[in-house]
Amino acid sequence: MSSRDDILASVRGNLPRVDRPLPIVPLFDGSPPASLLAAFKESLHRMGGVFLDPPVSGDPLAPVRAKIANAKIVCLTVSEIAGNRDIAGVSKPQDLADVDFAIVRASFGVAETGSVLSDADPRVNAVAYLAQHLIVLPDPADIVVNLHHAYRRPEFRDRHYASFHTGPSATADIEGVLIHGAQGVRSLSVLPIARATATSLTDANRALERVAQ
Amino acid sequence: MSTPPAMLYPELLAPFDLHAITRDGHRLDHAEGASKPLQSRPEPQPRGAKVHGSRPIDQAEAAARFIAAPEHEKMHDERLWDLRQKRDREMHGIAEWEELRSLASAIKEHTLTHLDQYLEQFEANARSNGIHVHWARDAVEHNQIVHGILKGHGAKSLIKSKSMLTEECGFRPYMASVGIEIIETDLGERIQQLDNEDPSHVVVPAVHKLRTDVAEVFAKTIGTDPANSDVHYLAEAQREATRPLILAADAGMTGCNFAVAETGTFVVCTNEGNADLSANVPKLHIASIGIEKIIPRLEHLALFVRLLSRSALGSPVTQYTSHFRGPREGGEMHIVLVDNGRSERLGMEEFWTSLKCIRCGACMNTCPVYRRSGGLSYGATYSGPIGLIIDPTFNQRKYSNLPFASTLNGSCSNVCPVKINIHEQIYAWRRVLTECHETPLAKRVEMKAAGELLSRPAAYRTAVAAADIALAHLPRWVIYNGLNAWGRHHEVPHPPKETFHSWYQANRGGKQ
Amino acid sequence: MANSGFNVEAADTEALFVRNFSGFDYVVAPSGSCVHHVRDNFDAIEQTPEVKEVRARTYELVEFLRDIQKVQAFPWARFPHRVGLHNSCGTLRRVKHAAASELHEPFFSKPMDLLSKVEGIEFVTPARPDECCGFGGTFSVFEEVVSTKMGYDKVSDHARAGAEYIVSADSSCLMHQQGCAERIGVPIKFIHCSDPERSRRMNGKAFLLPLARLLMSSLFIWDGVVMLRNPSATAQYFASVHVPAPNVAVWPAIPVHLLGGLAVLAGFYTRWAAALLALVCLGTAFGVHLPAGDPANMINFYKNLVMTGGLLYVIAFGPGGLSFDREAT
Repeated sequence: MSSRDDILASVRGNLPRVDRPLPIVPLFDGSPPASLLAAFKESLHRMGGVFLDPPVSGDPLAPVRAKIANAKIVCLTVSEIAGNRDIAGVSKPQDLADVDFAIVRASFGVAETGSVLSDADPRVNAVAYLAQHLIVLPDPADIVVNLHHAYRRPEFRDRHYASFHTGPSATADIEGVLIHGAQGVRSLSVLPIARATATSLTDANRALERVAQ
Repeated sequence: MSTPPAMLYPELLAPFDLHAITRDGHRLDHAEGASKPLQSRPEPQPRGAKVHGSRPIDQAEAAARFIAAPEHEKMHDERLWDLRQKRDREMHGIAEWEELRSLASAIKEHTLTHLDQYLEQFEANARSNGIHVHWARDAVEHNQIVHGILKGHGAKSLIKSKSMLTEECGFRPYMASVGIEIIETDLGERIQQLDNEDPSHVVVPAVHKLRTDVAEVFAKTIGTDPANSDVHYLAEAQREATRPLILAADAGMTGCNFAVAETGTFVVCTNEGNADLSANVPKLHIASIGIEKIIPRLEHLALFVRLLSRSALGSPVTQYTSHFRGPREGGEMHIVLVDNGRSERLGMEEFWTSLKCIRCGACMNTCPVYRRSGGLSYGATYSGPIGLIIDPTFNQRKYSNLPFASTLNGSCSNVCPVKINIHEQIYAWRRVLTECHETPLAKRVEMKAAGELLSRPAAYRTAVAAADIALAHLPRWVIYNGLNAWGRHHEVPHPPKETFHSWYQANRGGKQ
Repeated sequence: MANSGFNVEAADTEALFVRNFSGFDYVVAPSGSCVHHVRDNFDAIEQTPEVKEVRARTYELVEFLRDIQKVQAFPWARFPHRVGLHNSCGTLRRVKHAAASELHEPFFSKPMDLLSKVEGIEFVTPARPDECCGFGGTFSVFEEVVSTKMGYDKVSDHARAGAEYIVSADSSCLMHQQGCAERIGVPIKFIHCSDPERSRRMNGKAFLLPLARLLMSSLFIWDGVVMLRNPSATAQYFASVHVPAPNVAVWPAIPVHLLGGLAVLAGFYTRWAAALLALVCLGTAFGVHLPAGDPANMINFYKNLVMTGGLLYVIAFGPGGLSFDREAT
C-alpha cells in the first residue's frame, strides 16, 4: 500500500458522518463605489503603493519616464518604453539581480484591495521581485470591484503562475515598525494606461525607428 | 458609545514617529504594521517553556517568567492587542463580515466531509499541469521525501518561505542532520532561525522579541553593529545578507495557504514576497501542503483571501497573493501532501472542525492569556487557543496541561474567521484529559473533595462558616502561607457579615 | 469542577441544584457564569424532564429584570458615581448580556440599559472593555501568575479611565478583581450591579425607617435617663409593682433601657437591641401591667404590645438606612 493509498483510506474511514452541503457564494457587489479607479487608488495608497496620476495631455507615459530618468538598469516586459535590459535576452533570474526598475503590464486590478495581477513573462517570473522598484501599467477599464469578481477572470485558469501585487514588499516583524522593501521591491507604482494607447505608442515608436534608419 | 482607543500601557507610545511611512497625510499600517509608534526599553529576553522529552509542558512556569520580564510582556501584549484592534477596524468596514465567516465555515466543513474526493481531484489537476505530487503519512516521511527530491537534483541549499507545517515536521533539524543548508527568507522566521529558537506566532514569528534582542542576534550572526537597534537598519542588513543566498540557492520551498481542487492551484500569501522569490529564482520549487488546506473551487478563494489577512493583521490583503498552478518553462515543481495525524483528527467527533483552521493567528492576537504568556511558553509548534485544541492530538501527554491554560472566555471563537468553536473544544479536551487521568494528582484529589463538599449542604455551610471565621480572625502570615495559591498574588475575599442563606432564613422565614 | 474537566465529580452538586430549585417558575442567580453553566453545560446528570425544566427556567439577574420583569425605572435609586461596567465573559458571550466587540453586530448592553435608569450614574470606558479579567475558575489558582496579571491590568485600566466603582453581574469576577486591586493598591470599590439599583435616594422614603427608629427608641432612652438620675425612686417604683429584688433589678434595667434605646436609634446591632427591648416590653406587659389590671395599666399593657410589634418589624426587616449596621455591610 502506498502512502497515497494509506492516507486516502484513513481519510475515507474517518469522514464525519454529518451532512454539510456546499453553500452558494454571492458576489457581494450590491453597492459598488462610484468610481472603481478612485477606489483602487485609495486602496493602493493604504497598502503602500504609489498611484501615478495619468497626465491630462501629452505623453501618457511621462510619469514613468520621469521616475526612471536616473535609473541605471531598466528592464521591460513592455515595448512602449525604452529600457536597457531586454527580458528576451535573460536566460536565468540571477541575471536580473542588478535591475533598478522593472516595468510590467497588469492584466487587471482590484478596487477592493488595490491589487494588480502582473503580466509576468512565462520564462522569468522573478523580475517583479528581484528589481529594486516595480512599475505596473494596468488598463483602467480592467479594474474589477472586488475579489469575488477577480477570481472569475480567465487568468487563473490559463496561467501556471499568477500573482496579486498589492503595494511593495513589506514587513513589520520587528516591533511593528513598517518596512518597505523587506525582501522584494522597495516601491510599487501604478500608472493606469489603456491598452489601445500603449499599442498606438508602440506603432509610433516603430515608425520613428524606421524613419531614423 | 465610541471613545478614542486608549492603551493599557500608554508609556509604550513613542513621543516621535521618526520612521512613519505616510500616504495622503496618513500614517500607514498595512501588513503587520502597528497602528501607533511603540517604544521599548532593553531587557534580557525571557526564553520559552522547558522541554524534557514527553514530560508535560509546564506552561504556567514559562508564562510566569515572561510576565517577570515586563518590557517584553507589555510590548507583546500591546502589539498583539493592536493587531486585534486593526482586525476589528477591518471587520466594521465590511457589512457582510458575519456572512463571510458563516460561508467560510460551511465551505471548509463541506470539504472536510468530502475530503477524499477533493484530494483526488486536486491531485489529478495538479498532475495534468505538470506538477509532481507526493504523499507523506507523517513528519518523518515528509522530510525524507523532500530530502529525496533535493538529493535527486544535487541540491545543497534551500531557501524557503514560512510554513508552519514544516515546523510541525521538524524540517530544519532534519535537513541540518543530512547536510542541507536551509535559509529562511521571512524576516521573523530568519531572526528565529539565526537565534536557534522556534517561531512564537504563526504569522509574526518574532513578535516576542524587542528590537534590542534582534540587534543582538544579528550582531552575532550577520555582523551588524550590536549597539544599533534601529529597525530599518536591521531590516536592511537582513535584506542585503539574504539576497545573495537567494540568488545562489539550489532549490526553493514554500508552504501553502489554500489548495484549489478545481484547478490544481495552490496559493501562498506573504507580505514580503519571499515565497515568490523562493519559488521563482531557483529552478526547483517544492511546496509542503497539509491535506486540510483543500478548498473546492476558485470562487471560494475570494472568501478566504478576504478573511485571512483582515483576521490576521487587520490589513485588507497580503502584499503578495500568489497562485501556483504549474512549473515555469525550464523549471520543476513538486508538492508534498502531508497527513501527520490530520486524517485521524477528522474522525474525532468533538474536534474534527479544528481542521478548518486557516492559520491566521487571530485567536492568538485576541487571547489575553497568550498575549501575557508569549507563544514560546506553550512549548509546541502551535500555541495560543488553536494550539490548545490541536497539540494534544500530536502528543497527549506532553501537551496535557495546555487546555488548562485558558479562562474559557470565548473571544477566540468569536474572532475565528472559520467559526471554530475553540473555547468549547478546550472545555471538551479538559474532560477527555481528566477521564484519561492526564491531570496532576493534587488537582484530582482537590476536585473530588470539592465535589463531595458542594453536594452536601450541611457540610458546605459548615465549611463556609469556618472559612469566614478564619479569614476574619487569623493573622496575615497564617492566611498568606505558601500553600495558599490564591493568596500568592491577590488578597483573599472579605468574609461577609452574614451569608445569603442566614439572611434569607432571617428575612424570608426560612422556607426550604 | 466542570470547567476543569471534572464533570463526573460535579454530578452530585448538579443534582442538588435541581432538587433545590425544581418547581419554581424562575430561578434567578446573580452570576452569569453560573447561569451559563446551568443552561449550557449541566450534563453530568441524567437529563430528566425535571432537570430540563430547571435548566430552562434559570436566569441571570440583569436578564431577568430587563427581559422578564421588563423593569423600566428604579425611582428610589441614586448612585452619583463614575462606574466601570464589567461584563464577565460568561455573561457577555454566552448569556449574551451585551454586544461582544469581536462580532459585527449593533451595540446593545442589558446591564447598561438597567443601570442607566439609576440617577447620577456615569459610565467610564476602559481601553479594553471586554477583555477577560482572568478569573477563569480554577485557572485563578492553577495559573495564578497569568490570572492575577490579567486582574491587575483590568483594574488598572478601569482606574485609568476614572472609575470609582467596578460594577458587574458576576460575583466571581468581582472577588478576583477586588483581590487584585487590594494587592496592588488600586483604590477602586467593587459592587454587584444590583447594588446601585438598591441604593437609597435621599427622598422621603429613605427617611421613614430612621424616623421610625427615633420614635421607637425615644421612650427607652427617656426612661433610661430618668432611672439613671434617680435610681432609688426607680427601685421604689419596682417594689410597688412587685418586681422581684427591686434594689438589684434597677442596675441592669438602666443600661438595658438606655443602651438598648441608643442602639436602636443608631442602628447598631439593631436586631439584637430590638429583641432585647421587645423582651423587656413583653416582660413588663405581662409581669407588671396585666396583673395590675386597672385602666391606666391596661393602656400600658396594650401600649407595650404595640411597641413589641414595632420592634418585631425591626428584627424582621433590619434597621434601614442611616444606621451603623447598614453602612458597615
